[in-house]
Amino acid sequence: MSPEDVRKELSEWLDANWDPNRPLIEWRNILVDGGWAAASWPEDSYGRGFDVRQMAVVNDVFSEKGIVGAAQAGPRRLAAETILAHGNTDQKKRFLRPILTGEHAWTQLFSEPGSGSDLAGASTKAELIDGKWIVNGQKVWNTSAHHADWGILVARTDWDLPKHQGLSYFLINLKQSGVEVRPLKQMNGHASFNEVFMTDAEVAAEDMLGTEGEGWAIATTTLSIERQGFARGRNQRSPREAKEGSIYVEFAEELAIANEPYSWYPQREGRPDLVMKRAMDTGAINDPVVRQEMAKLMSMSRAAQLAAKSAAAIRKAGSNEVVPAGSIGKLGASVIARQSAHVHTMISGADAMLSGSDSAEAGVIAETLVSVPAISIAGGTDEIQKNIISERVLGMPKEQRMDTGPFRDIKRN
Amino acid sequence: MTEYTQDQETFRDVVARFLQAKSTPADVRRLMDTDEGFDRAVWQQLCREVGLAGTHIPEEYGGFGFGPVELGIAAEEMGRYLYCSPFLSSSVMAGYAILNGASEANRQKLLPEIASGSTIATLVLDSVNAPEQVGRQLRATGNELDGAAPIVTDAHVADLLIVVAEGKEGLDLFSIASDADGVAIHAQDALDTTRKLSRVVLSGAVADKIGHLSEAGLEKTWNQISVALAHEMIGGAQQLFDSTLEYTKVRVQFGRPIGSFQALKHRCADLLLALEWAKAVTHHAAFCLCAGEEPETASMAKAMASDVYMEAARAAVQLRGGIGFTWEEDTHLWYKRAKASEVFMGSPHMHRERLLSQIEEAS
Amino acid sequence: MSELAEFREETRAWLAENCPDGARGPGEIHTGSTKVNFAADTQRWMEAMAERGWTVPNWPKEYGGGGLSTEETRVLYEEMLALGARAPLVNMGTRMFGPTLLEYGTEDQKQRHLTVIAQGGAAWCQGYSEPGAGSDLASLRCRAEDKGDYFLINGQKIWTSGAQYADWMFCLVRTDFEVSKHNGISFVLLPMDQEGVTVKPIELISGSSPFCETFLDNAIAEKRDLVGQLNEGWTVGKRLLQHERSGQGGLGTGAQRSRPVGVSIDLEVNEVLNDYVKDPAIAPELRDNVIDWKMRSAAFRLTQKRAGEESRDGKTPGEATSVFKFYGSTLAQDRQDLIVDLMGHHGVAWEGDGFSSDEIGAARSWLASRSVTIYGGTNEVQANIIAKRVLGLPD
Repeated sequence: MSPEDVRKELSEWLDANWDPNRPLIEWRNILVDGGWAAASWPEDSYGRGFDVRQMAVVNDVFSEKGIVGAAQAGPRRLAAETILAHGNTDQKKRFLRPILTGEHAWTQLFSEPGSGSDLAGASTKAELIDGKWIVNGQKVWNTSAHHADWGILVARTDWDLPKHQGLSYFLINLKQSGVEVRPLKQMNGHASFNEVFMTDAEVAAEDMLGTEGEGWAIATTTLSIERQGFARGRNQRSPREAKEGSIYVEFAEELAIANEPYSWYPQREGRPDLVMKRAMDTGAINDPVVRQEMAKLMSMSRAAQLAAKSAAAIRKAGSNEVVPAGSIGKLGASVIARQSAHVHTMISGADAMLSGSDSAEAGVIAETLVSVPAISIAGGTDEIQKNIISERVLGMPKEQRMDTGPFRDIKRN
Repeated sequence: MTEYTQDQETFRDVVARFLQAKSTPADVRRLMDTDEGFDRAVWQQLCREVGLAGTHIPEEYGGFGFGPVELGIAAEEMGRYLYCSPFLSSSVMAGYAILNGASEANRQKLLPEIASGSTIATLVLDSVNAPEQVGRQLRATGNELDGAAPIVTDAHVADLLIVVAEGKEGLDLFSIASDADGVAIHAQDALDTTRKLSRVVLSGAVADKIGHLSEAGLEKTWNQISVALAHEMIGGAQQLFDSTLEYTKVRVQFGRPIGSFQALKHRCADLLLALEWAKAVTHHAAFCLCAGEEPETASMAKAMASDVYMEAARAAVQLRGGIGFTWEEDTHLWYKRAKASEVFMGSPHMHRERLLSQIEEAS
Repeated sequence: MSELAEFREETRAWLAENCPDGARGPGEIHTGSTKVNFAADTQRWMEAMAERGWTVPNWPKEYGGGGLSTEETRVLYEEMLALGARAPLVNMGTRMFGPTLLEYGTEDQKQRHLTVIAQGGAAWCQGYSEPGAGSDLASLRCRAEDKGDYFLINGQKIWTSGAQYADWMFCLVRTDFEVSKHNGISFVLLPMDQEGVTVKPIELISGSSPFCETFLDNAIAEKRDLVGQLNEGWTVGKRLLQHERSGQGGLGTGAQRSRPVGVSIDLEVNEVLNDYVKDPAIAPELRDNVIDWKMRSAAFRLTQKRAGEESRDGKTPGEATSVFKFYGSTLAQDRQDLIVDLMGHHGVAWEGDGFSSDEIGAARSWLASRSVTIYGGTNEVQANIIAKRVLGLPD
């Protein structure tokens, strides 16, 4: 379908169906049935198989007309795309629609206190008892778990296999008595994450994604989707200007909840966008040393944008295969964030100590300085990204492993 | 946004194949020890068969009519193979100066010879540090030129000098034969012997005034040269990176390839990131020259390419260990070019300052 | 007056009287080589100091040393520094091999070799690295066969600094190929002037050739010149490396602080800044870099001093020497980078009348400085040693 045809068909469909006073969930069900909730998805999964160019038109039309689209905020996108890639027909049918309509919020249950960088070292245990998976263990860094309905979970189902082979991937209902969620406060004062304790929690047999032992392979898909997000930044925002209609109220409420854990995410990216303004406001723009550092920062930011575009072009030209380019982008985001924090510090001088509402940019600069350390840790540390880049992109030889053989014999925390 | 067309990729292959055969490290070593510093026969062949000297010169002046993108492709391959030739001096520097500053009649007269490679020209600037310093030493009184340019590339082999000198109303552009009276060319020995440098002294030399170079014209010329040079530099950086990576995969110490050590892996990953960034910006800068947009990307490209070339060169020596430090190993040829290119046409510091001023003005 | 103050007085007077003008300020330093003609003052200075045992002041008197205490040695160096006196004699014998032999040599070996070194009568070179054994030194394959009263040696050594001027080589050889790599190595001494030894200089990217390849074809080392026990040479060799690193980092001995091989000039970074950097738009940035370097340099000097004071006797450097090698070589390299940076395109001069000798020196020194993070153990290897031995991080 040509971009013009896409525009025409979508516009006509919206003219016939869009009503800003419909209840949010009802509207999104219509959107799903019309095939416009996730047009880039395959036709058998509510989509139209659109490519990047066609999707650009869809997004343009939505934003021109101020249409509320499918729910995207938060970790639900990770769940959706992973289910799309690895789920069976029944799972796609049961899980994808409520994700798109926003009825179900999701969280990611991967990291554990004892396995951070080494995700495959997870020791949360899942045992099949009387046709149900019984889960015991602790997860950590679970964004939005406090208001999530479901979780994507990696747990160990076989302790005698090597560590990557003994993991399985589950879709777990969090609204059950065996699951306890506790918030985790960070050094920047926010509490975006949680700890999740599972004590004899249950997962139905049909809620295993893929087959037993396939957990690591599937987790890799999720992680690579996540990394691309780091390089790209988050995308769902509420419409800029206030619009008439009850649906916008509902949508704003949904976003407020879903986006709350991410309110500091722009700050962890270093806020390079504020640098020029701050330099002008403070007069630091006249300091040649600051200027050099600003120029470096601006070059990096521009380069990262351009490099991401060519990486996207490569993906488009090739296949949907997940490429480690995400690791390069993520590493780049860390470098930029650190440089930006460095420049902000130079610009602010002693004022960088102040964090109140009357401080620089209403405290945003202060928050930036204590949020930046997170970007080179979350979603795989810089060190892990460099291992991935050197081994998978550059083909450098792997380091000798100390963690082969049955998992139960491996040294762990 | 940088995507090469099929034709452009084919052009790259043609240039690369030619240079791979004609500019081996052995060729480079042979030529760098000669006074001329390049192989006339090979240069002529490249001009005749590939038309390289006229890559970016419009068809009406006898060139190929390609733009900065194709020029960048050619320069990138030349940097990769460290091709010794007057290409940068004659086609890029003199060519662009004439295009930007000479009158129509003089373009008609001078460019076809440069585009065909039958004349070797070079651009005489009295400062290769920063555009605003140009014109402080070379003065024009009518058609008479006086003063010195301390660093001029390939002047020792040039037939024609294109001189930028300060006249009554700003910078004027002159052409003068290299063997004319009042022209003295002193070869300078320099760190990088694959690109020869001279000091050009003009004493009452009578030249042809071929046009005027406005401030904007000089800035544009400087940008065009910087972008071509940045391409050459990322080509060189890529070559160093590729060969170093290969070395870390085959060199065995402590019973394993040294590339399996995390210290080396992480250094290579960091370098890849820097290289990808510099490439993205440099390629984009060529597209911007075509479209007449974002002039600040030229300085961005030159600064980033300089930094990554030096970084790649440092790593290339360090990761090879002692062998990387020997004359016999080829790494130092690129290492020296990296340094020489870094300080030619403006240091990274100068370009970053220039970049910020441009962004400031735009905002 | 305390004894030390008395010693200082005497030393000062003696130095003033005996240090020739030609041995003050920067210039040639005696290496002990019998193959080199040194300037008259260099020779006279070395001989005068050797007579008092002050070429190696803290070695015992019976082996040609001065028998000075650590404090006295420090006083001597301070007085030399105050006078601008150069080190009278510096070579691998005084700095590395001698101190090692003092610990591991037999009485016979000490008698035969140390006195000659102290008297400036022999230069030594180091037969360690091989083409296949660089960072992984212990994988060396140079073979030594036991022939009764001598070893027959076959193999190739590389990066043997000054081999073309050396009279003797201390050499790591493999005497057992059947055991694990560290356990089959022996430490032997062999004269360079014999048929089985061929030396070929290696040209470096800076254009100079301070290093050599040394080919050993049926070269001979006498049995009495085996240092330490057979197959226990790794222990001796490693100890010697610690002396080497402390020397390169410049531990303690201000008067003979070593320079990177081939680094011929010693420009002050701030002077270069003042002379070359005029553009007001970028000068502050470069000044920032200069100040940063000077701060790191000062921190390094102070740390060295503190380490020197903390170690009870300055003669036995430990694993911490890797820190000095790592940081000292990085600083030296950064300094040359900075100077070339400051000079802009003047810093890429090679030779010729368009450039000053400082500029040409800067370019060559800059190239030469590439090697300081490689020789004597690359920075990568030093970092591994620091992590493991100094910080106690697991393998």
